[in-house]
Amino acid sequence: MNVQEIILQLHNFWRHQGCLILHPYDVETGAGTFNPATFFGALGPSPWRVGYVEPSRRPTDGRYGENPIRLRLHHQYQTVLKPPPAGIQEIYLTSLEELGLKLAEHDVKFAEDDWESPTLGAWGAGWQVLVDEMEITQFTYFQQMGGVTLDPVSVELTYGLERIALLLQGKESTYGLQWNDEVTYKTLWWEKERQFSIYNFEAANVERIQEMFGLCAEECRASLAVGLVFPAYDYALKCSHLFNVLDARGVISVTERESFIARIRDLAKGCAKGYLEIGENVA
Amino acid sequence: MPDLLFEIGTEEMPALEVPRLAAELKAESKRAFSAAHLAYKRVDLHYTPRRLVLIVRDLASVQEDQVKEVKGPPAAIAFNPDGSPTQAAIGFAKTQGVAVEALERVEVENKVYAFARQTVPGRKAVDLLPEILPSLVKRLHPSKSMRWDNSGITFLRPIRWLVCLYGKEVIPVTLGTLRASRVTRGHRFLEQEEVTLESATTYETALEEALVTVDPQTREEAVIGSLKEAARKLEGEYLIDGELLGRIVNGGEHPTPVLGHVSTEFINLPVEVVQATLREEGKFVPFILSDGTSPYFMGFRDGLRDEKGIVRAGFERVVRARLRDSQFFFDKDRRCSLAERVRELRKVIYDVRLGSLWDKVERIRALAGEIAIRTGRGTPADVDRAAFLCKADLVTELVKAFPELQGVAGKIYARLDGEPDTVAVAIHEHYLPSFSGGELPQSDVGIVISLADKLDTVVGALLAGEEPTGSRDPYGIKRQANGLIHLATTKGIDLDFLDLIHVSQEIYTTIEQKVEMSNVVKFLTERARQFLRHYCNIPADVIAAVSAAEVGNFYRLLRRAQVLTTWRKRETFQSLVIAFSRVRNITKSVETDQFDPKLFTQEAERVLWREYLKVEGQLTRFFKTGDYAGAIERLVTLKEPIDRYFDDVLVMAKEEDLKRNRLGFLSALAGLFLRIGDFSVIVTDNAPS
Repeated sequence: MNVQEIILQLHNFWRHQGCLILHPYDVETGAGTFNPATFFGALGPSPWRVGYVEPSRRPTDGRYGENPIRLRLHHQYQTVLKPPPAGIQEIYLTSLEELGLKLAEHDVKFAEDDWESPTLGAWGAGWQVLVDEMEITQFTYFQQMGGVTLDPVSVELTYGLERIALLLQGKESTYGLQWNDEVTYKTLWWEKERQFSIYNFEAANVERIQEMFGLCAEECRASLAVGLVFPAYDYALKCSHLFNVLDARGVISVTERESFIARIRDLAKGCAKGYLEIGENVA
Repeated sequence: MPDLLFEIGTEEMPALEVPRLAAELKAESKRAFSAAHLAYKRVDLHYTPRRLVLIVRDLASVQEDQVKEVKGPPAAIAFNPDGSPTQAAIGFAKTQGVAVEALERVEVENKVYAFARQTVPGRKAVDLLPEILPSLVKRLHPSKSMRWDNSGITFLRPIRWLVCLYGKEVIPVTLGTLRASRVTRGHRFLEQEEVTLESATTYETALEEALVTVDPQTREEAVIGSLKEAARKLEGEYLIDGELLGRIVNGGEHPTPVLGHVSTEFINLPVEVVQATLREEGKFVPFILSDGTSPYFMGFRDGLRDEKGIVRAGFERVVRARLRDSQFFFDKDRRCSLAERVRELRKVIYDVRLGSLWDKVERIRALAGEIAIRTGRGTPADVDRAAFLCKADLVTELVKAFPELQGVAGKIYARLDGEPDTVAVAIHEHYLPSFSGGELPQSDVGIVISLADKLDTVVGALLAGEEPTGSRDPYGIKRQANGLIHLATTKGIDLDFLDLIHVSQEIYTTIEQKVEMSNVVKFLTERARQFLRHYCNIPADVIAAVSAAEVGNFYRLLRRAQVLTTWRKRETFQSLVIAFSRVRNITKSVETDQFDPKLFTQEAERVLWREYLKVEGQLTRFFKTGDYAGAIERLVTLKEPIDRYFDDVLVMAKEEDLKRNRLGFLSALAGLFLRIGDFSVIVTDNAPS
């Protein structure tokens, strides 16, 4: 099964579970959780089910295109279900079977991996799902988001699409994957991985990025001050991404790191608070 | 009597947390059953990541009857003189639900009262269990609790099913939205997951058939067994610690071994890095072969044997990818020498009050230099170089990825940089012992740096006001101090550390020294005493005795304590203690040890004085070499002359000058003993208590 078939299959599976099928957010994110469909969707009391692909940028994970499974940008398939159905683990495993993964032939473990995002002011309890000890999914019951204790809680399933494709296609390296039957992952992504790794680790202009961070943080706060929660959140996301670039660039000391994270968290908390004030169902 | 089975079925609980939680469940259930007066033979406990299981063997079907006694009004009020009940008695009997004729007269503290006594028949276990069992779950304390639905129940992970059987009967225990049944679940990846249980007694075998080994002990034996067998075949050893073992044993319901091979492309990656990569996140157990390489590992599949080799191929692929990552870190680190990295330590805060890691390195250098001079261990150049480099690996990618490689990574990089081998080894060894009773540094330079680092950490934390309280010990200085004392005593470090702390303190320029150094002295002295007591099995009285003499030289402190511990059982020593106690008691408040032999008037005085002179000279030599057994042997020869002295000489003479002279002499004599310890506090078998 090629990568785009996996995506279509998951869309199809989760559509039947009552999920809205949405699209990636068009601002850089480090994970599907940052997409407003999850960040805001998890807040408030109304039921919510959604599925979408999220290209996730993690500058520090860049390996110049030379590591078979570690990537600066990988693709997550993200679903959020609020409230979580009681058989959610089994539903999830069925989704893997329907992708053609014969679970009975593999080793499958739900290994403790409580999730915490200091920048989003969020945490949850859950696992990394390991197939033959390779992590293919992050499975989390959100307990808190944007500093707000959730009621009801949500469950978030984050599939690592490249990892799943490796298993299904029996490939050693991500770059050997077929995106469709003609185009390989390498054709699409290798040069981008290489260039962005050089950029993030070596070339990014530190002063300018720091300045951009400051500007975006300002813009976020200014928007929050006049009750514009969604524009504010976009700038919070930009701050988070710029921080990740600075981190990869190796210019953030241990103490600075703390204060950067605290600044982003305050922005995210402001967005969550503002969102709950204007009432939900507008995400 | 039937067995009771109570199974709490969950989504996968964290491997390292399950055993603790299960033990808590067992303790709570024992408490609950005895509080409920339900007799049982024993409680068996099983657990896997997906279930906590109580099996209460031979649980009584009915509570024991209970006799209830209630004190009523005084007899004088309850009964008329003719013995007939008054209104008070009738009312009391009514509220208690007993016949008024059944009231008894019982004397309590010299006064007679009316008593209502009745036997309350025990309730049935089947009626009590629905109250007892859910409350057990609510009384557990997971390290982190979560919510998963709106039932209000919180637990470590979502609870998804309950089984409760008393013998063959289902007890309808409810918890949140769940109701217990006889249907449990077998291994997750069996075709038929649900298992209907016949009775509590056959639970274990029914689950084993469904590929779930519910007994953790059995799983552990199987895991260890397969590791041993593989090690034997490979002619190597497996490397596992308690945490990794716990993750494997409690990470699945049926761990089955899968042996994998490490790709030869990593032949140049240091073996320590390969092993750390394999062990990462508690996944794989490395083997080390006799040639020092680690080309094999064992993983554990949760389920049946990997007949087709699919799982093995998957494990090997993960290992390969992770080793490529380690290789990436290693290559990146190698772009810059360890010595060049030292300057990055200025940017890493060790503690806001104690400065950067670079400041710490500077202090270690100063202290290590001093220790090297005082102990004559290591060349000054090697010691300083090792101290300079010892923390540099903390800013390498490898140590950031694998914190347990601190020191080891430094050693590897130092060797590759062409640093002297003594320096490379010392960088690794200075972290030792890494746990209580762990391996100690062996090289001179390693010992010196290790002592300096630990002493600096202890002094620094105390200067910053981080005195350990209860379980709070942010700098782990109890362990650091224990490591220091263990190292000093084992390696014969003939050094007074209480003297050295002043050197250590002077180096602190970053902190306002409000803290009295006496705090540090107190802390280290207490650690030394604890070490003698718990690690060396020195009796409390001997510890008290040796504490009266110099304590800062831990090596000598232990030697003196050991010699006294051996000697205190001997009869000669016991009589010496008595003799010394006489000297000690009479001189306790004497402030001088000055005397003039010319003022001695009696032969016994002169005899003891001559013996004293002989022994004093010899003792100095014994003390120099630390031969405390020899010293005590010499002191024993003083016993006779001391006894004779007290027989013949009146110390508290009428003549003030004679008296003062005698007390001065006895003080000097006591001083000889006190260099080893205060013998008078040693408990000997025939000593007056």
